[in-house]
Amino acid sequence: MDAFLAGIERRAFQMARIAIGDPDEALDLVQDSMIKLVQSYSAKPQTEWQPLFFRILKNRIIDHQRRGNVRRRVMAWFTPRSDDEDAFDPVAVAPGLESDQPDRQVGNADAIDALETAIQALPERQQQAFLLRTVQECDVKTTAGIMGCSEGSVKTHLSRALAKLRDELTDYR
Amino acid sequence: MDRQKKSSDDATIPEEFSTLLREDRESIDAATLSKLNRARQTALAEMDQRSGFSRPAFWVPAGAAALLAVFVIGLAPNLMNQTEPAAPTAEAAKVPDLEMMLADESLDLMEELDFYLWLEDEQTGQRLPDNRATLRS
Repeated sequence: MDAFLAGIERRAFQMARIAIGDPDEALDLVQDSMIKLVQSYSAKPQTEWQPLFFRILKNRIIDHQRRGNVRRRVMAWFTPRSDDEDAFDPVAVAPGLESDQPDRQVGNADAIDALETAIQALPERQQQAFLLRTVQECDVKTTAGIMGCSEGSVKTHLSRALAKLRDELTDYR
Repeated sequence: MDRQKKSSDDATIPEEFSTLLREDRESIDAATLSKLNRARQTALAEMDQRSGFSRPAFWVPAGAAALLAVFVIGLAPNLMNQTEPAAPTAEAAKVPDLEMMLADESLDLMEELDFYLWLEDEQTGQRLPDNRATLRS
């Protein structure tokens, strides 16, 4: 189990961070998912650990995103509209995807930032399909199992995601 | 693993996407890697705790304690009855089933005895010998 978790932790962290945009929250989600896998599925055959783990992580990401959506809607209700420059702007203070984050040490940080922003903007299912196929490099069948849908649906979600990303990232290609 | 995943009806994932994501992954800073390592160790410690609960050595004394508790609870009424001071009287000694008479349950039986005798009368149409005086003495 140690070797398995060590082998997937980077990809898991990347997937969570891209999906929710916050590195610290992403770490929490990864840890929670690891604990859940160990608690509930460590007795399962090792070949099942990967799809099980990423299904757990996917569900936690979804929960986090939906809680965030609810929180943003509630905040919007209580935040008065104002053109005042000093008005509170939650977007401005939210953790961003810019390369000012300490874990970014690549030369083409702008391109990565743009890609991650575009991935974040994808609809939920397209985002899942893209991250599982690209970050986790799961095959179509495994991705379908994790997402709980057919292989055809995975291909559809992925092709739509790629079309959107190509449109968003024409300046960087 | 194959970077270009393409089948006859699967979308092609652009190589540049895969490259960017791989570079991003490989550039995760040391502090974050340390936190990931701690998260993994926390999860593995959870597994160690669970395996501790499943060890036979843990369950043997716990199981023995449980059995002992059941044994004590099961025998407690009998033990209590046996320790009750129950010096039989001369009249009580005439009753064949002394232990039944001294038990609490027999008092309920005595109170309902009239009913059972009546019931038997009704069912058989004959009167049974009334031994109540003997039983109650």
